[in-house]
Amino acid sequence: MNENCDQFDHVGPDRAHFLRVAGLGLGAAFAGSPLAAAAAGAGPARGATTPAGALEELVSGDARFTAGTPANCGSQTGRMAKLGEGQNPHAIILSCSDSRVPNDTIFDQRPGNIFGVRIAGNYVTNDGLGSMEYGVAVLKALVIVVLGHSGCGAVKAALGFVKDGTTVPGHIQDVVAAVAPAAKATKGQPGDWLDNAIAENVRMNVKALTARSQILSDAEKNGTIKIVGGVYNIGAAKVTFLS
Amino acid sequence: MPGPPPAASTAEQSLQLLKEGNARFVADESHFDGISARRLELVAGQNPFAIVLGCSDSRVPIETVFDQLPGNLFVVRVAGNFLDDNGLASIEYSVSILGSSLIVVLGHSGCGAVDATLQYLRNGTVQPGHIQRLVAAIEPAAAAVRDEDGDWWDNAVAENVRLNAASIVRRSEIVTKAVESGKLRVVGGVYDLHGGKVSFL
Repeated sequence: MNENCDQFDHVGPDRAHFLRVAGLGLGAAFAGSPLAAAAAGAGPARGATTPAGALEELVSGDARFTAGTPANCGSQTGRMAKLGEGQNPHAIILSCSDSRVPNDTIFDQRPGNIFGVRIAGNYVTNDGLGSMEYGVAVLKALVIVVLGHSGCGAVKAALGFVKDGTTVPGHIQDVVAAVAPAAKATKGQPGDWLDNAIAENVRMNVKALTARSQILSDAEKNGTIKIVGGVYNIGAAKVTFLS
Repeated sequence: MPGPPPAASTAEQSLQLLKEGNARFVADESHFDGISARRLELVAGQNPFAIVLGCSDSRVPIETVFDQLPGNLFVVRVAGNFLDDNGLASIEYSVSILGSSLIVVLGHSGCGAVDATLQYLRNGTVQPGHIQRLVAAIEPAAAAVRDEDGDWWDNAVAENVRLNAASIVRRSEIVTKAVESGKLRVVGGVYDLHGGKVSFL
C-alpha cells in the first residue's frame, strides 16, 4: 500500500472526502449545511455539485491512477456504513465489461461516486438507457461518460465482421452487430482502424444517448448534465476525453 | 490467452477467491497495490476468472466489493442486475472466448430498482421513460415473493438473483454446455450495504 493510501487511511474516509471536496474550491460550509442534506438524498454528500466539477473530479482521479498514487485505495467500510443510507453518485459511466477497465479504479473514485453501466462494447441498450435515466432523474448524477478502451475485443470482432463477414457464435453476434456501424464508418480512414473504430463507437453512443432518451436530452439541454466520451488506454492507464 | 494467467482455473477456486476478497473488504484489509506493473501485462490480454452480473448502483463497485485487481473480473452492470440479450451476449463472450469459470449474479440490499418494482406492484407507480423497463424486468421476482414471510424488499432482491441465475443457463446454449461439461458454475449472491458482506445463495 503506498504512502498516499496510508495518509488517507489515517484521515478516515469522511475527512478525506471533505478535503478533496474543499480542495476543488467548493464551499465546506455548504457541504455540512441542512440545506445540502435536504437537497441531496440520504448517504454521503455528492463528490461534486456541478457537471463541470464532476468532470474535473474524474480527470483528477484518472491523473492519480495514472501516476500510481490513488487516494481511494484500501477498503471503504467506514464510508460504506453511510452508504447504507443512500447514494449520491456524481457520475455515470457507460463502459465495457472488459476486466481491464474497472471504472472506480481507473477514475480513483470511492464507492458511492460512480453509477456504472457495463456491457461488452460499451454501447447504448434500452435497459442501459433505463439505468442511466434512473441515475439522472432519480439520483441526480451530473455527468455521463461513454468510455471505450484500447484493445477492445468487441470492436476487434466487429472489424472482422466488416472485413470478411466473420461471425461469432450464440448471442455474441449481438455485440458485433451493435459495434459494426462504428467499424464501417472508420474503414479506410488514415491511422489504425481499431483505434479509430473504438473512438467512433464512443462518439456514436454519446449521440445515441440524447437521440434515444427524452430524459437525457432534456437534462443536457437545461445544463443539468454533461455528456462526454472518452477512451481509456490500458497501457498508459490514461483516459483521453474526446472533443 | 495472452495477458496475466487467470487467478483461478476452476469454478471452486474462483468462488474461493471472491469469498476471501470480500472477507478482506469486510475486515477493512483490502490490499490493492501493484496495479501499475499488472496494467502493462494486461495490454497483452485478459484472463478474467469470473463474470459478475451486478447492479449499476454506485454503492456496489464490483471489483472493490470482491477486492480484485484489474483483469480478474469481467463485469456486466445494469440497474436491477437482470439479464437481457445484450448482457447475455457479453457473458457468452467471456465464457467462450475468455474462458471464465464462474458467473455470479449479484444483487444487493436496498436496491432502488427493486424498490421501484415493489411500488409499482403496490400502488401502480409507473416510472418515466425507459426506467419502467427495469421495473418490468424485475416484476416477476417481486410478484413471486409478495406473500412470503419476512421483508418483501429483501425477499425480492434474493428472488431476482435466483431467477436471473437460472435464466442465464436456460437462455444460453453456450452457458448450458459449459456448465454441463463442468467448466463453468453459475451462482447467486446478495451484497449487504451495511456490513459489506456478500452472502452466496
